This record gives sequence, C-alpha cells and structure tokens, in this order.
Amino acid sequence: MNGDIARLLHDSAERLVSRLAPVPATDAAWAERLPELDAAIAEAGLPLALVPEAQGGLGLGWAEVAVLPRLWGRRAVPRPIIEPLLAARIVHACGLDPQWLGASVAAEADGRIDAAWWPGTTGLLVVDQAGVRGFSAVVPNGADLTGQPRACPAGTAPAVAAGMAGTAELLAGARLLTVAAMLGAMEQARDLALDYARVRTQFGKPLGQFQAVQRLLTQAASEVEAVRAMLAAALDALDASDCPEWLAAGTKARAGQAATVVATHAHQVLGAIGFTEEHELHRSTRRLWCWRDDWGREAACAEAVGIAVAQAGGDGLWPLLTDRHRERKDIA
Amino acid sequence: MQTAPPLPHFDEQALRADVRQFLADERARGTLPRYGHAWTHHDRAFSRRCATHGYVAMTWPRAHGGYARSAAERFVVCEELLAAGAPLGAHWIADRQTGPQILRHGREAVQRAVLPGIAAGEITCAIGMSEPDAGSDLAAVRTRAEKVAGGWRLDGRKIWTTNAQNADYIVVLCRTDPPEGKARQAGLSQLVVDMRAAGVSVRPLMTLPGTREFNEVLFDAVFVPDDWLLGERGAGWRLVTEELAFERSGPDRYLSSFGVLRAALDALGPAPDRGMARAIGRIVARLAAVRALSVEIAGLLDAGASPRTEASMMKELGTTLEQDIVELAREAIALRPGRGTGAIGEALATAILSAPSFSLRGGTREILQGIVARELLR
Ligand SMILES: Cc1cc2nc3c(=O)[nH]c(=O)nc-3n(C[C@H](O)[C@H](O)[C@H](O)COP(=O)(O)OP(=O)(O)OC[C@H]3O[C@@H](n4cnc5c(N)ncnc54)[C@H](O)[C@@H]3O)c2cc1C
Repeated sequence: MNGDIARLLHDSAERLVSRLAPVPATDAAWAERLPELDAAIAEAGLPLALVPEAQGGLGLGWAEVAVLPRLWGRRAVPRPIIEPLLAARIVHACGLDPQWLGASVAAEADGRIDAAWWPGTTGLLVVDQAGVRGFSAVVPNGADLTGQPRACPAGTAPAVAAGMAGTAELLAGARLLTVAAMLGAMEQARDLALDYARVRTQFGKPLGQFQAVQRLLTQAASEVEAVRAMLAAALDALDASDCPEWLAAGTKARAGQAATVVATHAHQVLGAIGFTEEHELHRSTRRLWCWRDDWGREAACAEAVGIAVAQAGGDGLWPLLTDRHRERKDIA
Repeated sequence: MQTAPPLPHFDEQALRADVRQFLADERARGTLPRYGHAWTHHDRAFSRRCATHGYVAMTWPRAHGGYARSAAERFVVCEELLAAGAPLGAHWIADRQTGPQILRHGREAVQRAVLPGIAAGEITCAIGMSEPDAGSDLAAVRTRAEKVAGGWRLDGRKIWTTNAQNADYIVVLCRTDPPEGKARQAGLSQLVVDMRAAGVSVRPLMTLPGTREFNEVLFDAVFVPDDWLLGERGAGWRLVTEELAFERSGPDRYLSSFGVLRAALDALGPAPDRGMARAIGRIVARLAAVRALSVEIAGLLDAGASPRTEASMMKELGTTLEQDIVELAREAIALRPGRGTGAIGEALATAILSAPSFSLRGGTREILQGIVARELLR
C-alpha cells in the first residue's frame, strides 16, 4: 500500500466530511446536508478512486481506498460509499453506460438480492462470479437496522456485462471494504466507551477503575486490533492479486465476531444512556449490526472458510494459512 | 496505536520451504510425532540440529554466534517450528528471552560465557521470577542478594521454573536493596546464576499432562560474581517488564494447540456438516487475525519499538484462542480422549490437560487485561 496516497485521500475526505457534518451529527440533521455531501463527493472524484488512471480514475489500490469506508464508518456518514466505488469500477471495467455510475451494487445471498438504496439511485448492479447483471430501476421496499432504505427486487435482472473479468477480486474487495467500514465504526464505539469510562463516576470513582469494566474495555479494544491487523494483511494480499476467497471471507467473519463483542461491550459500559436515540453510540453499533450482513453474512463467510479448511485437511491447514504466491514485498 | 513499519525484504516462501524440509527430515528421523510435542518438550539433540541450521539466535549479532537476521525472518522460522509441534524446550526460553536480555544488559563476561552456547543449541536457560508468595504480584519477591566481596550472596526460593532440571543458567529476580517506602519496584535486580554453582538445588513438580515441566529452585548462600548482574543494581523491575514484552507476542502464544486443530480436521474429513464447517471457519478466522497481529508486532520490534500494549492484547487473544481450539477439537473428535486412543485421541487428551496453563504462564489473563486497561484509559 502507498501510505502517502492513502493519507492524502483520507485527509481530503476527512476535511470534506468535517466541513459538512452537522453538530450533533444525528442522521436527521445529516439528512438536510446530504445533497451537498453527494455533490462534494462527486466533485472530489472520490468514487473514481478504484478506477484505473487510464480510464480517468485515481487508479488506487484496495488498501489505499479502504481509508474511505473506514472514515465513513468512524463518522457514521449516512450515505453509502462502498457502492459508488464499486459501481464506478464496474462501469469503467465493462464500458457500461455512465447512467450506471449512480447505481447501487449487491451480490445475491441466501437466494435474495438486498441492496442499499438512496435518493437518486439510478439502478442496481448485481455481481456474481459469472458476471454483472443490472436492474435499470429499483424502488426501496424495506429498511435496514439504521432505518436506511433497502431495495430487494424480485426476479432476475438482464445481464449487462457477462463474463466481466475480475469479479472474484471485486467480490473480495467489496467484503474487505465493508470490513474497513466496520473497523471505523468499531473504533468509534470503542472510543465512546473509553471516554465514558473516564468521566462517568459511580461509587466515588470513574467506571474505568473497576476491573469488571476494564475487562469489557480491553476485550473490545483487542477485538478492534485483531480486525485492523487482519484487514491490513488481507488488503495487501488483494492488491498483490493473492487474496484467496477464504481470506476475504475469513476477514469478514472475523469482523462479524468482533462487531458483536465491541457493540455488546460498548453498550454495557454506557448503561442506559447508550440505549437512547439521543446518545450517538447507536450510530456506530446499528451500522455494525447492518454491515455484518453486507457482502456475505457472518455465518456464510465462516462456512466458506470452514469448507476451504476442511478440504485442505490437517496437513493442508498450515500451508493454506501461510503460503503466498509472492514475496513479502517492500512497502516503503 | 503504532502503525506497522515496512517489513524488511526477504524471500519468505524460500525460508518456509527450508524449515519445512528440515522438519520433514526430523519426521523421517522419528523425532516428531504426527500431531507434535508441546513446544516446551526438551530434546537437546533436536536443539543442536536447529542451531546447525541457523534457527537459533537468528537475530543476534555475528560476534555472539548469531546470524544478524531480522525479527521477521525469525518469526517465520519460529512459527514453522511451532506449527509442526517441534520439541523446542532445550533452547526456546534461552533464544526467545534470556539470550536477548543478556545481549541488551549483560556485561562482557556473562555474554562470553553464555551467548555462544545458546546460539549452538547447547545451553538451556530458565526464568527465575515467580515465588511462592510472588505470583502476579511479582514485586513481592523475597529472594535476596547481599553484597559480598567480588559479588553477591543469593538466598531464596523460586517456583514454577520451567525446565530448571535441564537448565545451565537461570536469571533470578531478587532484592538487592530495601524498597524505597512504598515503591516496592525499587531495589530489585536481575542476576544470571550458574545452575551448577554450589548451593543451587532443584525439586521437581509434576503438571497435569503428567510431565515434569516445572520445578522449585532453591538458592542457599549461592555466590554470584559481580559482572553477572544484568544492567545496573536496582534496575531489575525495568528489565523484567521489558523482557516480558518479548515473552508475550510470539507465535508460541497462539500455536500451542495447533496440533489438536490438525487432528480435529483429520478426524472430520473433507466434508464436515454445516455447523462444524462454520465452527472451524470461525476458529481459523481468529487464528489468521491473531497471526496478522503477531506479524505486525514482530515488525515493530524490528523497527526498535516496544509495543507492550499490543503484545499484551495479542497474548490474550492468542491464548484464549488456544483454549477455544481445544473445545472445538472436543466437538469434532468423536472419541473419549485418553491414553491408548491413537494419535488423535492422545493429542486431544494432552491438549485438554495442558489448556489451563495457556492463560497463566507469562502473566495471567487478568494481569494482562489490567496492563492493557491502564494504557487504554491513560
Ligand atoms: C506452565 C507454566 C510455566 C511457568 N513457567 C514459569 C517460569 O519458567 N518462571 C517463572 O518465574 N514463572 C513461571 N510460571 C509462573 C507464572 O508466571 C505464574 O503462574 C503467574 O505469574 C501467576 O502467578 P500465580 O500462579 O502465583 O497466581 P496468582 O498471582 O496467585 O493468581 C491467581 C489468580 O488470581 C488472579 N489475580 C491475581 N492478582 C490479581 C489482580 N490484581 N487482579 C485480578 N486478578 C488477579 C490471577 O489472574 C489468577 O487468576 C509458570 C506458570 C505456568 C502455569
């Protein structure tokens, strides 16, 4: 990963979000700013981050681009970022009509298509190993745990780009970017719990001085670290075209486990105040509960890993975990 | 949190292939059972062969018998050896902990006496920290060293000392000066003690898996020369905490039960039912994550950082995983574990009987959580 480019991308996106974020940053307050946010994102060219430079994009790798969903997760920005990134990548890779740049993107799971929807969504691209299909119009007919609209169209969409090269990479990338968003949300929930444990006093001392509370905090923080490290390794592997399916699925499954621990413990530390609409904690935890189901729910991801491991068997497990088809590279 | 530095360049797959060939030869020789030994298992000849292959003292300077390689390379070699269940007990503690401690803080005499022997796989070291009344509360140690002409006179008792029965040297944390008021950490020092010295005696303690893993070590008026003091007089507490960071973050903190995970996969075969597949997937995802964290920490150590909080988090994540692997194996293996149950059943029996120690040795789970919490809440 090129750390400098990632930092530049992060800093400009951070400035953009900070400039527009309402105070307090409730979803209701955000709602009024969203048209402005959409315009600013488009103007900054953020959705073109994954598009090759030759096609007018920023030509960045997955690890570099992951700073965006991580920031979106950290700040709980109530607008999809992963779908526009993927849509732009697909449109340019397959030479689709630019109309599809505003499309949502999803994969079929458990026999259903369940996609993000936002005002102005111009369609829905459905990706699978074989290629890309598209619904040119979708309507919201449900909502997720944060109240954001979802579109679950019935029937089969017509193929728009059969045999797109690199759908496996795209699916792995979608999973890892979702994990990046989860990581951001987990970091935020962890920090809210830590801040609260420093200032909230009961029995004459801050909560953080009780061992039972410390245990919740350290477990949550350790889960975050585990996901951060695994995500970094998986993103580097994906950028080196060396991320087997089990690794992307495993990273998603690991993030799902961590999300449960972090959300549960953060809510425990914050007590009743954290269970209210007024407090900001739910903006992180509800998103975590949603993202667990995006691009492969945790159970499905765990199963994919388990099948790969069982097929490798006792003797194959260690090579599966460690063999890379590239040299450990210099990442200056 | 610190971010990972760039990893130094080397051909990782070639190094892995090299160690795997070495392990294949050992298997052919019959020194490596199908699901491995506990890594604390003592086998001097094996350690010598490891040393001959350059797998001991890898990161040390050449002047001390080392190979001046990076921590990242050492990491690869260690995890290959540990994953195979290699018997590392004769050199592990010396290579991981005592040697580096002597390199950083030892005087020339002790460096010359001890380091080349460790690098050759000939010398076993032991850690003399815990005492009957000083477990988690290590600053409560009562073993005393009194200043005498040319050195120290050491009296006291250490306990839970891994491999003391085979050790050539032990690093003893002892009191050399009285505490300064309530600051009990002051006045402690580390001495390197020759296990053959007059007045040292070792009493065995048997552990649950039926092995003689640790011991009680008694010091009765043992003479220790001046230049076998590590660092400065009274600096023992700082030295000991630094040392523990090295002890906490390596692959020995998540691979202790890897053999029984392999046994579970062999027992299940290539098509487990859906629930088992998910359970395996969850465990392997945790393994991959904790390994990624451990790799990062090795990189930070290479860059000269001391990632103590990360190391404590990693140990806690890793040892909990080691224990959960045993539980998964129980679910996967349809056998009553015990002696005479074949390779798989015996691997499971050993794992069950060893598991309680994973979250005790090297600092208990609760103590690690305290360390991490203090850092997080600063
Ligand atoms: C297999 C094995 C090998 C070992 N090898 C060595 C060795 O080579 N050299 C050596 O010096 N030592 C060794 N040890 C000792 C090990 O370091 C100690 O067991 C450990 O530090 C805990 O001390 P203790 O057993 O006295 O338990 P205690 O400190 O008495 O603790 C008992 C329980 O109380 C908890 N507890 C204690 N204090 C607190 C607190 N403040 N807050 C919350 N909970 C607390 C502990 O977490 C633990 O659960 C080994 C131990 C094992 C199991």
